[in-house]
Amino acid sequence: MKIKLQREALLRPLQSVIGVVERRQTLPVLGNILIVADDNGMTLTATDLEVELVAQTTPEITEPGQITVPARKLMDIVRNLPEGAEVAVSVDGDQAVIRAERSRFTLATLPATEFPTVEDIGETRPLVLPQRDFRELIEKTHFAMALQDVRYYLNGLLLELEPGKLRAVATDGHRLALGELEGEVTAEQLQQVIVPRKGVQELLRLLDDADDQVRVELGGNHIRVSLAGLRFTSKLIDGRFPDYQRVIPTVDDRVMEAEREPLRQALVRASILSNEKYRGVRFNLGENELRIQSNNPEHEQADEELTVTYGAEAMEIGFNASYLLDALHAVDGDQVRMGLVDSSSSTIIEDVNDRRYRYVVMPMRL
Amino acid sequence: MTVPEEDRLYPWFRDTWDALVQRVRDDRVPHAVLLTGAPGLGKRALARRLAHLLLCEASAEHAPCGTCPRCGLLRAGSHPDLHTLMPEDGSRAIRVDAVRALGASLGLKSQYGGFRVAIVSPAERMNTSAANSLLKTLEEPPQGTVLLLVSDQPSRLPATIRSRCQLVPLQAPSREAAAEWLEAEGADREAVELLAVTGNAPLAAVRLQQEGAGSALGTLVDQLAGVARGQITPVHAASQWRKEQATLVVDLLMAVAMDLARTQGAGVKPRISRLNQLPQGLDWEKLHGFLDELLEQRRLADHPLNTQLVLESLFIRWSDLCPREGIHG
Repeated sequence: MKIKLQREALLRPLQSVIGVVERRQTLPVLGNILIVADDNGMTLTATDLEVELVAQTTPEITEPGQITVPARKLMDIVRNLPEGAEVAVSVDGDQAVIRAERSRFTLATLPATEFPTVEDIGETRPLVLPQRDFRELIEKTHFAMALQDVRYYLNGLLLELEPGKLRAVATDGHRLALGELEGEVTAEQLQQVIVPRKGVQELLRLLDDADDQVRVELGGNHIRVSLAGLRFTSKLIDGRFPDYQRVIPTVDDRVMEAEREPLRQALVRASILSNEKYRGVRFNLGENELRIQSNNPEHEQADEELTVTYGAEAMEIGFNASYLLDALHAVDGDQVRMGLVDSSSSTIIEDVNDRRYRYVVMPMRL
Repeated sequence: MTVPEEDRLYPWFRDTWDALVQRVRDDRVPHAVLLTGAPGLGKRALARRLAHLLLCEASAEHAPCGTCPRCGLLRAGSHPDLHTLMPEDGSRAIRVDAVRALGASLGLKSQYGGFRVAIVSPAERMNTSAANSLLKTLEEPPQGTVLLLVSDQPSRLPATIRSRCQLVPLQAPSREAAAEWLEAEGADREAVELLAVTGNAPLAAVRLQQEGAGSALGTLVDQLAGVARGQITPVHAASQWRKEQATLVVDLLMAVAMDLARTQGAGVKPRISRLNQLPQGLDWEKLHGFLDELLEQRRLADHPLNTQLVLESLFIRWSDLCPREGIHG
């Protein structure tokens, strides 16, 4: 292999894939980056066996080939080269030689055949959607994912395709976040995949608040997202996601509407004096009035009053303040609606003007 | 002799292998297999071979092809669908974190759409919490996963684990077959003799021989003869061994005592060539008492007992066993 390119043309793709290279890996080859130079240009691949990132760049190729080199060392070398330097990479026996101006480096390599790549994710119906929308969908739902739950299918984000809709659902068993994206989805039947936590976080890192399109493909075992010059592939979680529709309450009478920001601030203040572990707060709802109370084992107490719109009968219900705050944080609009059933049933939180995103929070017995 | 290939098929496993292959062909691969047998038989190689067969692209064959890209990854140890659990460097136990990590990666779909295979070896090295954590996976394995447990002391595994695995007991070859194989592999004569120590496990014999057990066995027989004749004291004999040789010495003593019992009881030819240097016609009950003592010591091999004292007591037992020939011990 023999290639030549500008420092920046190598550094940028390197920086975008280096994130998945774990610092401490059990297999030496996973600390390496796969470089493939062929007729289609050059790709850099990094993987941790769960998430794979492939970045593209176009060097001047005098001799095609493929090799793996230590990722962090290559990254450090390229980063510290002078700006605008021309970098030449060639393979000599089992060593890779990097030359730039008056510097010369020799790196140890491992054969490309030892590097596990995901070539083909099977037949898919690709989905093309604006990057911004896809990012928002994940951003506004991912926080409800479980963390290292034994129910491993909860440690990820459900993506569901149905004709005309892409839906994301996350839950940890105590609260649930659901988001919907309308668009040209050509799914013939319902298709569900669960993207593991690590993949979701990496995706959030990669997706920008930009207008350009991303291509999403759902395979049998993988999800693949293609951005400009970068391709993300993650394994999926093997399992069935619980039937989330059943836990979303339908409410028509006990509906409270409130301004989001004052409600959020009152909750933040009240939660200061709640039990640090369970963060329980008590809601007392009366005619157009909401009282939020909390107390802790030291008998300290917080009391907040808020004017809201509520016309149904008075009721009392307890919540974990963190769950409510997460949901309120994810909502964009100024007005939120809370639909309540009774003090032992979950509540639904949504934007008054935007019902694409819905949050369900289970109550707490206080 | 050459280092054994890691997924090589040893001739003494041929029948077992054929049966396993048949199960793969019939699409009846058990979700968990426990391979048991004496140390040094090549159990792990068999487990790897089965894993490789399941993950090889050209899997219609009787053996992993060794040439497809998947086999390349397997050889390099970087196949994403094969997980191996072993005690970490510097640790004797397989810890719960490693088992949890395995459970998490088996919860993900397979990279290449086929089986996901995990090899746990030596399985008895899992500590209690690790074993309990593995139960979770054993009870409800995700579809298409195969767990291969390898153990030479299956009795140390929790019964809950054993009962959830398909048991595949592996037998050592006959002494003749083992000796023949060793000779064909160009192994040393000493290795053949050491088969007596390893219970005919050929790889263990090779390993012992490479560790210098052949000459150690000679030294030990000389010492035993010397102690029996009262020429050297048990304390002196014990002081000749280094701390890290204790386990080896106990194993060798065990082999010598067993061989003595065999020749004396059944009148057959000794397996250890210089056994006739040792006194004949030992007290039958005392000899078996000695064997019991050795078994007990072997069980305690992991304990940080004073090596010198342990060996001294064994040599003293031996000297008690030997008939006195007018010399006061």
